[in-house]
Amino acid sequence: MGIKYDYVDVDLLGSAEQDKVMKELLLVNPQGCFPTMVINKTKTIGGFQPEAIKDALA
Amino acid sequence: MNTRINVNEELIAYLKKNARAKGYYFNKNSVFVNELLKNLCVNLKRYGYASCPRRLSTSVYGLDSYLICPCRYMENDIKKYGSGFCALYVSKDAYEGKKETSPIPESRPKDKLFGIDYSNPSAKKLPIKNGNARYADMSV
Repeated sequence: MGIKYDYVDVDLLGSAEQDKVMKELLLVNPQGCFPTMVINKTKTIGGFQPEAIKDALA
Repeated sequence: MNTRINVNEELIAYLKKNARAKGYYFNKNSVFVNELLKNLCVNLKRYGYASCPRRLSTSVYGLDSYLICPCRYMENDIKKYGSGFCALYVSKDAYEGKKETSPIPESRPKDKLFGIDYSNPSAKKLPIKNGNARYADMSV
C-alpha cells in the first residue's frame, strides 16, 4: 500500500526503556496488547484487524 | 539413543492436541494461526515457556504463568465471546461459521496486565530462567 510506518519491538527493549514505552502505550491503548497500531496519530487499533486497519487508512 | 526432537513441532502438536481434547479449535485463518504459533515458539525459546505473544511477558515464570498458552483466561473467553483473546482458539460454533467472532476485550485483571507493578521495576531484573513445569511432560 506504500504507507510509511515505524515500529518498536517492545518485548526486545531493555527494562527501563520498556517501562517508558509501556506507559506511552497504555495512554493510547489501555489494554496494552500487541500489536498496537496508531494510525495518523488519531486512531488506535489493538490486535490483528486487517479490515479495521484498511478502514482507518481509507 | 540419539533422537533429535524439534521443540517447535512438539509445542505445536501439544497445543493442537490439548485444544482438541478440550473441544476448542484453532482459528480457520491459517496465516494468522501460523504467525501466532511462530511467535509462541519465539517466546518458548526466549523465556523457556510459550507465553502469549499478544501480551508483554516479564521473563519471570511466576509472573507470566497465567499467560502460558493456553492462557488461564482462554476457556472463559471462549464461553463468553466464542474466541480467546489472541483468537488462536475459537469455539466449535465459531469454527463452523455458526458464530461470528470479533476482537474481544482483555480479561486479565488490570493489576496483573504485565505481571508486575510498574512502580516496582526491580521485579523485572530477575534473570531469565529456562525450563518450566507446564511442559514437563513433553519430550524436550
